[in-house]
Amino acid sequence: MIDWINVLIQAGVTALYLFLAIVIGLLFLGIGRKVTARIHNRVGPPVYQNFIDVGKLLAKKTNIRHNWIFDFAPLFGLAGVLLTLAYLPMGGYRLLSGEGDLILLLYVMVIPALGFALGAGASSNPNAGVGVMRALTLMLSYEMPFLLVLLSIMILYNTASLDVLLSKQMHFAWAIAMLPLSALAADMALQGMMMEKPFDIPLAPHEIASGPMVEFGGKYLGMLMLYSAGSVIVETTLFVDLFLGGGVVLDPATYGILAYVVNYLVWFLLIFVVWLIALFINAVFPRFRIEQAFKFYWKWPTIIAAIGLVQAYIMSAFLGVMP
Amino acid sequence: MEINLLWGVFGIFVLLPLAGSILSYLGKKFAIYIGIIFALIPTIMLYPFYAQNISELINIGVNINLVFDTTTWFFMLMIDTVAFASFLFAISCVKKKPEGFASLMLLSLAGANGVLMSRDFLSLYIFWEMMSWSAYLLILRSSGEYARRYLLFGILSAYFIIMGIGIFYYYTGSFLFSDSAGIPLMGWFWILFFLVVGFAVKMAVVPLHVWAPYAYSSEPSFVSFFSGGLSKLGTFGILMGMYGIAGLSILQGFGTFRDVSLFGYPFALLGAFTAFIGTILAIFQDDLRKLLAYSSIGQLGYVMVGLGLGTPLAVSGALFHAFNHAFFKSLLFLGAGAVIYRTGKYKISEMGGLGYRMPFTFLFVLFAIFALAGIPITSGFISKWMLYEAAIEKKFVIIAPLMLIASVGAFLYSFRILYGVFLGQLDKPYENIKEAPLPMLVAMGILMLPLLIFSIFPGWILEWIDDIMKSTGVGTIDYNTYSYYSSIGGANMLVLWIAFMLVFIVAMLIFLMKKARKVDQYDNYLAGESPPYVQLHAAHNFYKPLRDTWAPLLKYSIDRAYEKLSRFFVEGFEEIKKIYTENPQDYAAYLGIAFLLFLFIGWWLL
Repeated sequence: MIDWINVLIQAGVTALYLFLAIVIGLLFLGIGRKVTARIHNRVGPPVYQNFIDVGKLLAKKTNIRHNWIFDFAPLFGLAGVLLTLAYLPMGGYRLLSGEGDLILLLYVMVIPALGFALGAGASSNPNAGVGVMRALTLMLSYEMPFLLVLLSIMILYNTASLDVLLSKQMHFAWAIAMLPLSALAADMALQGMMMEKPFDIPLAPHEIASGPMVEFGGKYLGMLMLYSAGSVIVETTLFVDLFLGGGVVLDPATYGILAYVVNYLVWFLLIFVVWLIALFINAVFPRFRIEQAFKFYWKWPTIIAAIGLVQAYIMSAFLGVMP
Repeated sequence: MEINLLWGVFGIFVLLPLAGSILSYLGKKFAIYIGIIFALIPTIMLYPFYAQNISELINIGVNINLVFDTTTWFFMLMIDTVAFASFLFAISCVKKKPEGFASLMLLSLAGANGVLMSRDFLSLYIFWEMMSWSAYLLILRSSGEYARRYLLFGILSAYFIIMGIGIFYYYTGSFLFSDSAGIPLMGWFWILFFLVVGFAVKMAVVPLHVWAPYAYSSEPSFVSFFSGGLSKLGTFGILMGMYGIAGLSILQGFGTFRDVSLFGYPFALLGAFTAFIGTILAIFQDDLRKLLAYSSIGQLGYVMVGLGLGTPLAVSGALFHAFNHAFFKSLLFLGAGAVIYRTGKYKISEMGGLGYRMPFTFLFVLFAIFALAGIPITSGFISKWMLYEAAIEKKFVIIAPLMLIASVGAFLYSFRILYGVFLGQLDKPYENIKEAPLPMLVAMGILMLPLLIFSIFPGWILEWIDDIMKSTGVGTIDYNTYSYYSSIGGANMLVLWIAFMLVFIVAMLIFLMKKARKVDQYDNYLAGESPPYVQLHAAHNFYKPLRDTWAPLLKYSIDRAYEKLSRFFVEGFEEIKKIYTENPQDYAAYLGIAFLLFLFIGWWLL
């Protein structure tokens, strides 16, 4: 018999974590605007600006829609990103799926992007079509090094489960110490995944009017802002979970609730650092063209990731390093 | 009693379609309806025959063995269902000589079912040719050129299979699969090599794939059966050859690399390359049918990987993926057929916005594409997951990344179909286009159901696959009704579905808080410009930047390599033709030379 009270508590905690993740995401977006502005020697909006924006957009009376497929974008976008967050251990606390499978996560991550792309495509604005084309091409570009990195981690730690990966990293060593080259390649891929400069090609506000976003306004844009806030957390957390032990420093088995709080704080600090690195690069770089981005990703990060893969392979298959 | 049951099964699944083939030819105008009935009966009769194990040796001068077990049942389930859906689809769109269509389709269905039932090479080969030739004639209905290309490779495949059979017969003196004792390892190598290559032609594995883009450009209702159903016979053949006839112990006798046979590994590698190449080529196609054809090549590459690796997880992943592929690819071909039927165009760049006018077709195709891309709310994810984990748990660092990146490439061409055909701007000529006719929609709906059901209850299909695994002796897989596991991970589909539903409701609540006003499709942001009417569907040469970066590699083509080879032969024969000089003295000289040659050879031999 299923323990319903436990399930309800679990669901409540999950909802809390998801809500916090979105809030942190919005805060990060605000910090991003502020930090970029300071680097550009501007004043910039206050850090809480994005909360005001989302509130205003969701409260707007007039909204414009094109057709029913257009509605896929906010629905699948927000639902998908919440689902992804639910599968991602934040501060070592796994919300769903006892196995926390990495490949499942990889494919769940696609749901919001695909829904968004569908809605954008249905807007019948050519900018949106071009933007989605660029986004997909960019995806093919950065996934090459990123998949090699994932593979190196899975081979070295001999697991496809994020949960096991976190505990192995806590007891042995963080993956960034084991596979520094892979971490470098992953960070390069992360820049494209977050669509920060020099890889903000799909959005490119000055070229194609924010690409896929061009037709969305009002509650649609508001929900898409929540989606992008969520995806910032997804992407930074993915890096932190893969390479920085997910911020897990205390074992929940021994320290109980205290461990969750401390781990959550460490996790917050780590994703903030990862986000800041992305921001600093974003603030000073111009934009690639999409074919340059493709060539770049399939050259340098892929080579670095491949060397990382060779290293992981040798360590695992020949040297018998078994974390 | 036993023999009666076998004849009953044989009658239902082979003789009945054969009889239907003749009947429907006589049926003229009602041929398709007769075809539907004769395709439906075997499909329905599969249910009472689930989990039967009927096997009978029959002596017709040589021993042949007809069997109906879970393997047969599993493959029949996909092939017969797909055949039935294709017939249903054909009601509305096959107008040209329907009796020929129905009769040949039933003939190839009978052949396919026969192949699945035979456990000896003689009946296998007879039924194989029956299926192969009727497929050739069906392609011939659309284009002689396409049919010739298919025929060439069909014959090549048959030669390879014949060679395998010949060597098998040389060692054993029998056609039965079970009489395989006493074949030396070298003999096994050649038998398996020829069989696997021969069947791989049907699965369109690179570099034997060049027939597929042409053959899959013929009538949509046939192609969906061809790509969805008949190509699975290649899977069946390889499964039988490698794991049914030879078995794991012989495969491992070739030497192993991390418990994977050295015989299977090159084929797995070839499959991974097929997946990659098929995907990359699919991205750049503008012809809807060709895009789906290359995608089909790529997806069957995954199946090849699983069959080559040969671990329980890999083989069951391959079977599951073959099953999924049967349904989603025939659904996609039917969707493409519906669109082509309504618009009369087959170039993606000439369509656009059809999703607003054909919403059900769009939804079915969308779901099939989710399955193709491996989105976890369809069963397409589970089979891909099994194949990835099978490669990763054995630490294969070339196969795994090729498969993974090919699957990312699948998103690209999937979106090309969705955006180019169904989304974007609805062009003026298609303003009043109607939804596809009802039979087409029903056919697509039937094909969609398994993809949905098995994504929530993967345990049901894995139970059948586990049966096949046990009967071929590959091993067992770890699963229960909702979840499935490998040695390094696992996933639970019920949790995923419930979570997805819950978060979707949350998103829906936020979404429904405010109302939205609907605007015209031309009422959108164009940076202040207000053109009265411009065709602004950005679908022409969609992935141009990517294509430009790939251009140096795309100039090498396997198609052209084959064409070069054929030109070489044509020119060579032109040269040889010159010996006919129409001069009697030359002919006399040839006679003399030939005489001397024979004399010397005869002298040397004696």
